[in-house]
Amino acid sequence: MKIYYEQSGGLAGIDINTMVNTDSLPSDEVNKLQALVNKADFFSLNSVSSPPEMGADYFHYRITVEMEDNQNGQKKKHALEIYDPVPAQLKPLIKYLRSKAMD
Amino acid sequence: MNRNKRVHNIHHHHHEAVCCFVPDDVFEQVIRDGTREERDKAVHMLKISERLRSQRHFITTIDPKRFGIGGHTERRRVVYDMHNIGDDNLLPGDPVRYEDSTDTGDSDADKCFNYTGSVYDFYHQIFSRNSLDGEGMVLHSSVNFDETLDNAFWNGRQMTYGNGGGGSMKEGRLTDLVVVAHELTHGVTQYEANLAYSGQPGGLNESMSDVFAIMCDQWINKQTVNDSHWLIGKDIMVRGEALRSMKNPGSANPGDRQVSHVRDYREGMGPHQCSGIPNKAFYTACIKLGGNSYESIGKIWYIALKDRLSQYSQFQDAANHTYTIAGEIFSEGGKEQKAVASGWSEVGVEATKPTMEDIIVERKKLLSKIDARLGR
Repeated sequence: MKIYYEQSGGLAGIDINTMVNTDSLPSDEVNKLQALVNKADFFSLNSVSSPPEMGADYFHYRITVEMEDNQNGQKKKHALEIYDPVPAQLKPLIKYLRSKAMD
Repeated sequence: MNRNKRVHNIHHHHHEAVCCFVPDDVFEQVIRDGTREERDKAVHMLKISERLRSQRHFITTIDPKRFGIGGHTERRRVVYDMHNIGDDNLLPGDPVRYEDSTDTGDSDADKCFNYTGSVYDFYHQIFSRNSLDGEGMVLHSSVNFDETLDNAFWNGRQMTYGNGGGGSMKEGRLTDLVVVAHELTHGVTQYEANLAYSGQPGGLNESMSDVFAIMCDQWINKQTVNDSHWLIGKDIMVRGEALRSMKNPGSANPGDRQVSHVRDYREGMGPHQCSGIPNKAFYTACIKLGGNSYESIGKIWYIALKDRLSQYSQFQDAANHTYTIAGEIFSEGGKEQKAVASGWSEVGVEATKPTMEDIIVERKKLLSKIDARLGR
Protein backbone atom coordinates (compact mmCIF):
# COMPACT_ATOMS: atom_id res chain seq x y z
CA MET A 1 0.00 0.00 0.00
CA LYS A 2 1.17 3.52 -0.79
CA ILE A 3 -0.28 6.68 0.71
CA TYR A 4 0.50 10.16 -0.57
CA TYR A 5 -0.24 13.03 1.82
CA GLU A 6 -0.13 16.77 1.15
CA GLN A 7 -1.30 19.38 3.66
CA SER A 8 -1.43 23.14 3.09
CA GLY A 9 -3.06 26.16 4.70
CA GLY A 10 -3.63 26.48 8.41
CA LEU A 11 -2.57 29.50 10.42
CA ALA A 12 1.04 29.01 9.31
CA GLY A 13 0.25 28.48 5.63
CA ILE A 14 3.10 25.99 5.40
CA ASP A 15 2.97 23.01 3.02
CA ILE A 16 3.98 19.59 4.27
CA ASN A 17 3.88 16.26 2.45
CA THR A 18 4.97 12.66 2.69
CA MET A 19 4.65 9.31 0.94
CA VAL A 20 4.24 6.20 3.06
CA ASN A 21 5.03 2.84 1.44
CA THR A 22 4.06 -0.14 3.58
CA ASP A 23 6.80 -2.23 1.90
CA SER A 24 9.30 -0.36 4.03
CA LEU A 25 7.37 -0.53 7.31
CA PRO A 26 7.46 -3.19 10.04
CA SER A 27 4.43 -5.47 10.06
CA ASP A 28 2.87 -4.04 13.24
CA GLU A 29 2.92 -0.57 11.70
CA VAL A 30 1.48 -1.89 8.44
CA ASN A 31 -1.40 -3.37 10.47
CA LYS A 32 -1.89 -0.09 12.31
CA LEU A 33 -1.97 1.90 9.08
CA GLN A 34 -4.33 -0.58 7.43
CA ALA A 35 -6.64 -0.27 10.43
CA LEU A 36 -6.62 3.54 10.12
CA VAL A 37 -7.49 3.33 6.41
CA ASN A 38 -10.28 0.86 7.21
CA LYS A 39 -11.58 2.98 10.10
CA ALA A 40 -11.66 6.03 7.84
CA ASP A 41 -13.67 3.99 5.31
CA PHE A 42 -11.33 5.79 2.95
CA PHE A 43 -12.54 4.32 -0.32
CA SER A 44 -16.12 5.40 0.42
CA LEU A 45 -15.29 9.05 1.18
CA ASN A 46 -16.24 11.71 -1.34
CA SER A 47 -13.26 12.69 -3.48
CA VAL A 48 -13.77 16.42 -3.24
CA SER A 49 -15.16 18.75 -0.61
CA SER A 50 -15.86 22.41 -1.23
CA PRO A 51 -13.90 25.03 0.69
CA PRO A 52 -15.89 26.09 3.74
CA GLU A 53 -18.20 29.04 3.05
CA MET A 54 -17.03 30.84 6.17
CA GLY A 55 -13.91 30.71 8.28
CA ALA A 56 -10.16 31.03 7.85
CA ASP A 57 -6.92 29.19 8.59
CA TYR A 58 -8.35 25.75 7.94
CA PHE A 59 -6.10 23.00 6.55
CA HIS A 60 -6.47 21.74 2.98
CA TYR A 61 -5.52 18.11 2.22
CA ARG A 62 -4.72 15.93 -0.77
CA ILE A 63 -4.59 12.26 0.19
CA THR A 64 -4.22 9.32 -2.20
CA VAL A 65 -4.28 5.65 -1.19
CA GLU A 66 -3.14 2.92 -3.58
CA MET A 67 -3.51 -0.69 -2.53
CA GLU A 68 -4.23 -4.17 -3.70
CA ASP A 69 -7.87 -5.12 -3.69
CA ASN A 70 -8.25 -8.29 -1.60
CA GLN A 71 -11.25 -9.40 -3.65
CA ASN A 72 -9.73 -9.45 -7.14
CA GLY A 73 -6.02 -8.89 -6.53
CA GLN A 74 -6.02 -5.80 -8.72
CA LYS A 75 -4.78 -2.40 -7.64
CA LYS A 76 -7.29 0.14 -6.45
CA LYS A 77 -6.71 3.83 -5.91
CA HIS A 78 -8.72 6.62 -4.34
CA ALA A 79 -7.76 10.31 -4.07
CA LEU A 80 -9.27 12.98 -1.84
CA GLU A 81 -9.00 16.75 -2.07
CA ILE A 82 -10.71 18.08 1.02
CA TYR A 83 -10.76 20.88 3.55
CA ASP A 84 -11.21 21.04 7.29
CA PRO A 85 -13.49 20.26 8.98
CA VAL A 86 -12.91 16.69 7.72
CA PRO A 87 -15.12 13.69 8.61
CA ALA A 88 -14.33 12.54 12.16
CA GLN A 89 -13.40 9.02 11.06
CA LEU A 90 -10.61 10.39 8.84
CA LYS A 91 -8.89 12.35 11.62
CA PRO A 92 -6.79 9.48 13.07
CA LEU A 93 -5.36 8.69 9.60
CA ILE A 94 -4.57 12.38 9.02
CA LYS A 95 -2.92 12.58 12.43
CA TYR A 96 -0.73 9.57 11.59
CA LEU A 97 0.25 10.94 8.17
CA ARG A 98 0.88 14.43 9.55
CA SER A 99 3.27 13.02 12.15
CA LYS A 100 5.06 11.06 9.38
CA ALA A 101 5.39 14.25 7.35
CA MET A 102 6.90 16.02 10.37
CA ASP A 103 9.52 13.27 10.99
CA MET B 1 -11.83 -4.96 18.11
CA ASN B 2 -10.56 -6.24 21.40
CA ARG B 3 -11.36 -4.62 24.68
CA ASN B 4 -7.73 -4.12 25.71
CA LYS B 5 -7.09 -1.86 22.77
CA ARG B 6 -10.12 0.24 23.58
CA VAL B 7 -9.17 0.50 27.23
CA HIS B 8 -5.70 1.57 26.14
CA ASN B 9 -7.25 4.51 24.27
CA ILE B 10 -8.73 5.81 27.48
CA HIS B 11 -5.53 5.29 29.44
CA HIS B 12 -3.50 7.15 26.90
CA HIS B 13 -4.01 10.62 28.35
CA HIS B 14 -1.66 13.29 29.53
CA HIS B 15 -3.91 14.18 32.44
CA GLU B 16 -7.37 13.33 33.64
CA ALA B 17 -9.32 15.90 31.63
CA VAL B 18 -7.56 15.05 28.38
CA CYS B 19 -9.16 12.61 26.00
CA CYS B 20 -9.19 11.63 22.41
CA PHE B 21 -12.34 11.21 20.36
CA VAL B 22 -13.81 7.92 21.52
CA PRO B 23 -17.38 6.84 20.68
CA ASP B 24 -19.71 6.54 23.66
CA ASP B 25 -20.23 2.81 23.07
CA VAL B 26 -16.54 2.29 23.83
CA PHE B 27 -16.94 4.03 27.19
CA GLU B 28 -20.07 2.01 27.86
CA GLN B 29 -18.23 -1.22 27.13
CA VAL B 30 -15.41 -0.23 29.49
CA ILE B 31 -17.94 0.62 32.20
CA ARG B 32 -19.42 -2.84 31.72
CA ASP B 33 -16.22 -4.88 31.38
CA GLY B 34 -13.32 -2.78 32.70
CA THR B 35 -11.50 -2.72 36.02
CA ARG B 36 -12.71 -0.34 38.71
CA GLU B 37 -10.14 2.30 37.72
CA GLU B 38 -11.06 1.94 34.04
CA ARG B 39 -14.75 2.22 34.92
CA ASP B 40 -14.19 5.45 36.88
CA LYS B 41 -12.29 7.02 34.01
CA ALA B 42 -14.86 5.91 31.48
CA VAL B 43 -17.72 7.35 33.53
CA HIS B 44 -15.81 10.63 33.78
CA MET B 45 -15.18 10.75 30.03
CA LEU B 46 -18.77 9.88 29.25
CA LYS B 47 -19.94 12.76 31.42
CA ILE B 48 -17.63 15.17 29.59
CA SER B 49 -18.82 13.86 26.24
CA GLU B 50 -22.46 14.27 27.24
CA ARG B 51 -21.82 17.74 28.65
CA LEU B 52 -20.14 18.89 25.44
CA ARG B 53 -23.08 17.65 23.44
CA SER B 54 -25.60 19.44 25.62
CA GLN B 55 -23.54 22.64 25.57
CA ARG B 56 -23.57 22.63 21.82
CA HIS B 57 -27.27 22.04 21.74
CA PHE B 58 -27.70 24.91 24.19
CA ILE B 59 -25.56 27.30 22.18
CA THR B 60 -27.25 26.54 18.89
CA THR B 61 -30.83 26.57 20.10
CA ILE B 62 -31.01 29.48 22.50
CA ASP B 63 -32.62 32.77 21.63
CA PRO B 64 -29.70 35.05 20.68
CA LYS B 65 -31.24 38.06 22.43
CA ARG B 66 -31.78 36.23 25.71
CA PHE B 67 -28.30 34.67 25.68
CA GLY B 68 -26.76 37.99 24.76
CA ILE B 69 -25.11 37.21 21.44
CA GLY B 70 -24.84 40.91 20.70
CA GLY B 71 -25.86 44.34 21.80
CA HIS B 72 -23.43 44.65 24.72
CA THR B 73 -21.66 47.89 25.35
CA GLU B 74 -18.72 46.24 27.07
CA ARG B 75 -16.58 43.21 26.33
CA ARG B 76 -18.14 39.79 26.80
CA ARG B 77 -15.90 36.75 26.53
CA VAL B 78 -16.51 33.05 27.02
CA VAL B 79 -13.68 30.52 26.82
CA TYR B 80 -14.55 26.85 26.36
CA ASP B 81 -12.41 23.76 26.92
CA MET B 82 -12.57 21.05 24.26
CA HIS B 83 -10.58 18.64 26.49
CA ASN B 84 -8.42 17.69 23.49
CA ILE B 85 -11.36 16.39 21.51
CA GLY B 86 -10.85 17.33 17.85
CA ASP B 87 -14.44 17.09 16.71
CA ASP B 88 -15.75 20.28 15.08
CA ASN B 89 -19.31 19.07 15.66
CA LEU B 90 -18.76 19.36 19.42
CA LEU B 91 -17.63 23.01 19.34
CA PRO B 92 -17.62 25.19 21.36
CA GLY B 93 -17.18 22.69 24.23
CA ASP B 94 -17.23 23.03 27.98
CA PRO B 95 -17.51 26.69 29.17
CA VAL B 96 -14.72 27.34 31.71
CA ARG B 97 -14.18 31.11 31.82
CA TYR B 98 -16.59 34.07 31.78
CA GLU B 99 -16.23 37.79 32.48
CA ASP B 100 -16.94 37.40 36.19
CA SER B 101 -15.02 34.16 36.83
CA THR B 102 -11.43 33.72 38.02
CA ASP B 103 -8.44 32.02 36.40
CA THR B 104 -9.04 28.40 35.46
CA GLY B 105 -5.45 27.27 36.02
CA ASP B 106 -5.35 26.06 32.41
CA SER B 107 -2.67 28.22 30.80
CA ASP B 108 -4.21 28.21 27.31
CA ALA B 109 -7.71 29.02 28.63
CA ASP B 110 -6.45 31.91 30.76
CA LYS B 111 -4.12 33.29 28.09
CA CYS B 112 -6.88 33.09 25.53
CA PHE B 113 -9.32 34.88 27.82
CA ASN B 114 -6.87 37.66 28.71
CA TYR B 115 -5.58 38.26 25.19
CA THR B 116 -9.10 38.19 23.75
CA GLY B 117 -9.80 41.04 26.17
CA SER B 118 -6.68 42.89 24.98
CA VAL B 119 -7.80 42.59 21.37
CA TYR B 120 -11.31 43.77 22.23
CA ASP B 121 -9.78 46.78 24.03
CA PHE B 122 -7.51 47.53 21.09
CA TYR B 123 -10.39 47.65 18.62
CA HIS B 124 -12.57 49.56 21.07
CA GLN B 125 -10.07 52.21 22.13
CA ILE B 126 -8.28 52.75 18.83
CA PHE B 127 -11.08 52.26 16.32
CA SER B 128 -14.19 52.78 18.53
CA ARG B 129 -15.25 49.29 17.49
CA ASN B 130 -17.49 47.26 19.78
CA SER B 131 -16.47 43.62 19.20
CA LEU B 132 -16.16 41.67 15.96
CA ASP B 133 -19.49 42.70 14.50
CA GLY B 134 -19.30 46.26 15.82
CA GLU B 135 -22.46 45.56 17.78
CA GLY B 136 -21.08 43.97 20.92
CA MET B 137 -21.24 40.28 20.04
CA VAL B 138 -19.96 37.84 22.65
CA LEU B 139 -16.49 36.51 21.86
CA HIS B 140 -16.59 32.72 21.97
CA SER B 141 -13.22 30.90 21.99
CA SER B 142 -12.43 27.21 22.39
CA VAL B 143 -9.03 26.00 23.61
CA ASN B 144 -7.42 22.54 23.87
CA PHE B 145 -8.94 21.54 20.54
CA ASP B 146 -7.64 18.15 19.37
CA GLU B 147 -4.35 16.64 20.52
CA THR B 148 -1.03 18.32 19.63
CA LEU B 149 -2.72 20.32 16.86
CA ASP B 150 -0.44 22.93 15.30
CA ASN B 151 -3.25 25.24 14.28
CA ALA B 152 -5.78 27.87 15.33
CA PHE B 153 -8.72 28.91 13.19
CA TRP B 154 -11.84 31.03 12.85
CA ASN B 155 -14.86 28.94 11.82
CA GLY B 156 -17.21 31.78 10.96
CA ARG B 157 -18.69 31.96 14.47
CA GLN B 158 -15.85 31.54 16.95
CA MET B 159 -12.09 31.17 17.50
CA THR B 160 -10.58 27.72 18.07
CA TYR B 161 -7.06 26.98 19.32
CA GLY B 162 -4.96 23.81 19.28
CA ASN B 163 -2.21 23.18 21.83
CA GLY B 164 0.71 23.01 19.40
CA GLY B 165 3.45 20.48 20.06
CA GLY B 166 2.68 18.57 16.86
CA GLY B 167 6.16 18.95 15.37
CA SER B 168 6.09 22.35 13.70
CA MET B 169 4.90 24.57 16.55
CA LYS B 170 5.86 24.80 20.19
CA GLU B 171 3.36 23.75 22.83
CA GLY B 172 1.19 26.42 24.47
CA ARG B 173 2.04 29.25 22.06
CA LEU B 174 -1.09 29.26 19.90
CA THR B 175 -2.87 31.41 22.48
CA ASP B 176 -0.22 34.16 22.24
CA LEU B 177 -1.53 37.70 21.72
CA VAL B 178 -0.65 37.98 18.03
CA VAL B 179 -2.32 34.66 17.16
CA VAL B 180 -5.45 35.61 19.12
CA ALA B 181 -5.55 39.02 17.41
CA HIS B 182 -5.03 37.37 14.00
CA GLU B 183 -7.97 35.00 14.52
CA LEU B 184 -10.29 37.68 15.94
CA THR B 185 -9.52 39.92 12.99
CA HIS B 186 -10.79 37.19 10.65
CA GLY B 187 -14.09 37.80 12.43
CA VAL B 188 -13.90 41.56 11.87
CA THR B 189 -13.11 40.98 8.19
CA GLN B 190 -16.08 38.63 7.86
CA TYR B 191 -18.43 41.26 9.28
CA GLU B 192 -16.98 44.08 7.16
CA ALA B 193 -15.34 43.64 3.74
CA ASN B 194 -16.09 39.88 3.85
CA LEU B 195 -13.09 39.30 1.61
CA ALA B 196 -13.18 35.95 -0.20
CA TYR B 197 -10.63 33.36 0.89
CA SER B 198 -8.84 32.72 -2.38
CA GLY B 199 -6.81 34.67 -4.92
CA GLN B 200 -5.94 38.30 -4.15
CA PRO B 201 -9.00 38.86 -1.89
CA GLY B 202 -7.74 35.86 0.11
CA GLY B 203 -4.31 37.47 0.37
CA LEU B 204 -5.92 40.70 1.56
CA ASN B 205 -8.04 38.75 4.06
CA GLU B 206 -4.97 37.07 5.56
CA SER B 207 -2.99 40.29 5.46
CA MET B 208 -5.69 42.18 7.38
CA SER B 209 -5.38 39.60 10.16
CA ASP B 210 -1.59 40.08 10.28
CA VAL B 211 -1.83 43.89 9.99
CA PHE B 212 -4.25 44.31 12.90
CA ALA B 213 -2.46 41.63 14.95
CA ILE B 214 0.89 43.41 14.72
CA MET B 215 -0.75 46.78 15.45
CA CYS B 216 -2.38 45.27 18.54
CA ASP B 217 1.01 43.90 19.61
CA GLN B 218 2.61 47.34 19.14
CA TRP B 219 -0.22 49.05 21.04
CA ILE B 220 -0.03 46.65 24.00
CA ASN B 221 3.77 46.84 24.13
CA LYS B 222 3.85 50.63 23.52
CA GLN B 223 6.08 50.26 20.48
CA THR B 224 6.58 52.66 17.62
CA VAL B 225 6.94 51.25 14.11
CA ASN B 226 10.71 51.29 14.59
CA ASP B 227 10.56 49.37 17.88
CA SER B 228 8.48 46.49 16.53
CA HIS B 229 9.91 43.18 15.31
CA TRP B 230 7.12 43.00 12.69
CA LEU B 231 6.91 39.24 13.20
CA ILE B 232 3.66 37.29 13.25
CA GLY B 233 3.89 34.44 15.76
CA LYS B 234 7.33 35.24 17.12
CA ASP B 235 9.02 32.21 18.77
CA ILE B 236 6.07 29.93 18.00
CA MET B 237 7.79 27.72 15.45
CA VAL B 238 10.10 24.86 16.34
CA ARG B 239 12.32 25.88 13.43
CA GLY B 240 12.62 29.54 12.48
CA GLU B 241 11.89 32.80 14.27
CA ALA B 242 8.16 33.16 13.49
CA LEU B 243 5.23 32.20 11.29
CA ARG B 244 5.71 35.24 9.06
CA SER B 245 7.75 38.41 8.75
CA MET B 246 5.98 41.55 7.56
CA LYS B 247 9.34 43.24 7.07
CA ASN B 248 10.88 40.40 5.02
CA PRO B 249 8.10 38.10 3.79
CA GLY B 250 9.39 34.61 3.04
CA SER B 251 12.19 34.69 5.62
CA ALA B 252 10.51 33.71 8.90
CA ASN B 253 11.03 29.93 8.85
CA PRO B 254 12.32 27.18 6.53
CA GLY B 255 8.80 26.53 5.12
CA ASP B 256 7.89 30.20 4.65
CA ARG B 257 7.08 30.74 0.95
CA GLN B 258 5.52 34.19 1.21
CA VAL B 259 6.08 36.54 -1.72
CA SER B 260 6.51 40.29 -1.36
CA HIS B 261 6.00 41.69 -4.87
CA VAL B 262 3.14 41.44 -7.37
CA ARG B 263 5.50 40.16 -10.07
CA ASP B 264 5.72 36.95 -8.00
CA TYR B 265 1.95 36.58 -7.58
CA ARG B 266 0.45 33.52 -9.33
CA GLU B 267 -3.14 32.35 -9.70
CA GLY B 268 -3.84 29.56 -7.24
CA MET B 269 -1.40 30.88 -4.66
CA GLY B 270 -2.57 30.32 -1.08
CA PRO B 271 -3.87 33.29 0.93
CA HIS B 272 -0.98 32.99 3.41
CA GLN B 273 1.55 33.04 0.59
CA CYS B 274 0.37 36.12 -1.30
CA SER B 275 -0.54 38.03 1.87
CA GLY B 276 3.16 38.91 1.98
CA ILE B 277 2.46 41.53 -0.72
CA PRO B 278 -0.06 43.71 1.21
CA ASN B 279 1.83 42.93 4.45
CA LYS B 280 5.00 44.44 3.02
CA ALA B 281 3.03 47.42 1.64
CA PHE B 282 1.61 48.13 5.11
CA TYR B 283 5.00 47.70 6.79
CA THR B 284 6.70 50.01 4.30
CA ALA B 285 4.01 52.71 4.62
CA CYS B 286 4.33 52.61 8.42
CA ILE B 287 8.13 52.84 8.35
CA LYS B 288 8.02 55.71 5.84
CA LEU B 289 5.72 57.69 8.13
CA GLY B 290 7.16 56.66 11.51
CA GLY B 291 5.39 56.99 14.88
CA ASN B 292 2.59 54.66 15.96
CA SER B 293 1.13 52.46 13.23
CA TYR B 294 -2.36 52.42 14.74
CA GLU B 295 -2.68 56.23 14.85
CA SER B 296 -2.22 56.89 11.14
CA ILE B 297 -1.64 54.16 8.56
CA GLY B 298 -3.64 51.73 10.70
CA LYS B 299 -6.66 54.04 10.70
CA ILE B 300 -6.48 54.24 6.90
CA TRP B 301 -6.38 50.43 6.65
CA TYR B 302 -9.28 50.15 9.11
CA ILE B 303 -11.52 52.45 7.07
CA ALA B 304 -10.59 50.51 3.93
CA LEU B 305 -11.58 47.23 5.62
CA LYS B 306 -14.76 48.65 7.09
CA ASP B 307 -16.12 50.85 4.32
CA ARG B 308 -14.33 50.40 1.00
CA LEU B 309 -13.08 46.89 0.32
CA SER B 310 -15.49 44.14 -0.70
CA GLN B 311 -15.60 40.42 -1.35
CA TYR B 312 -13.59 40.40 -4.58
CA SER B 313 -11.24 43.36 -4.02
CA GLN B 314 -7.80 43.05 -5.58
CA PHE B 315 -4.43 44.42 -4.43
CA GLN B 316 -4.91 47.36 -6.82
CA ASP B 317 -8.27 48.17 -5.19
CA ALA B 318 -6.69 48.08 -1.74
CA ALA B 319 -3.92 50.40 -2.93
CA ASN B 320 -6.38 52.84 -4.53
CA HIS B 321 -8.72 52.91 -1.56
CA THR B 322 -6.03 53.34 1.09
CA TYR B 323 -4.43 56.10 -1.00
CA THR B 324 -7.77 57.91 -1.34
CA ILE B 325 -8.66 57.50 2.34
CA ALA B 326 -5.26 58.94 3.33
CA GLY B 327 -6.12 62.06 1.32
CA GLU B 328 -9.60 62.26 2.81
CA ILE B 329 -8.81 61.87 6.52
CA PHE B 330 -5.37 63.51 6.60
CA SER B 331 -4.52 65.72 3.64
CA GLU B 332 -4.40 65.43 -0.12
CA GLY B 333 -0.75 65.05 -1.09
CA GLY B 334 0.25 64.97 2.59
CA LYS B 335 2.86 62.78 4.24
CA GLU B 336 0.38 60.04 5.10
CA GLN B 337 -0.79 59.74 1.51
CA LYS B 338 2.79 59.73 0.25
CA ALA B 339 3.68 56.98 2.74
CA VAL B 340 0.75 54.88 1.54
CA ALA B 341 1.77 55.35 -2.10
CA SER B 342 5.37 54.38 -1.24
CA GLY B 343 4.19 51.29 0.59
CA TRP B 344 2.24 49.98 -2.40
CA SER B 345 4.90 51.06 -4.87
CA GLU B 346 7.44 48.96 -2.93
CA VAL B 347 5.43 45.83 -3.81
CA GLY B 348 4.80 46.84 -7.42
CA VAL B 349 1.33 48.38 -7.11
CA GLU B 350 0.96 52.04 -8.12
CA ALA B 351 -1.89 53.60 -6.14
CA THR B 352 -4.29 55.99 -7.86
CA LYS B 353 -7.70 57.39 -7.02
CA PRO B 354 -10.48 54.85 -7.63
CA THR B 355 -12.12 54.90 -11.06
CA MET B 356 -15.87 55.26 -11.66
CA GLU B 357 -16.02 51.46 -11.84
CA ASP B 358 -14.51 51.24 -8.37
CA ILE B 359 -17.12 53.65 -7.06
CA ILE B 360 -19.92 51.55 -8.57
CA VAL B 361 -18.49 48.49 -6.81
CA GLU B 362 -18.51 50.45 -3.55
CA ARG B 363 -22.14 51.40 -4.04
CA LYS B 364 -23.06 47.78 -4.76
CA LYS B 365 -21.23 46.76 -1.62
CA LEU B 366 -23.11 49.31 0.41
CA LEU B 367 -26.44 48.06 -0.95
CA SER B 368 -25.55 44.43 -0.23
CA LYS B 369 -24.57 45.41 3.33
CA ILE B 370 -27.91 47.11 3.84
CA ASP B 371 -29.66 44.04 2.41
CA ALA B 372 -27.70 41.79 4.77
CA ARG B 373 -28.60 43.94 7.77
CA LEU B 374 -32.25 43.85 6.78
CA GLY B 375 -32.04 40.08 6.27
CA ARG B 376 -32.89 40.23 2.55
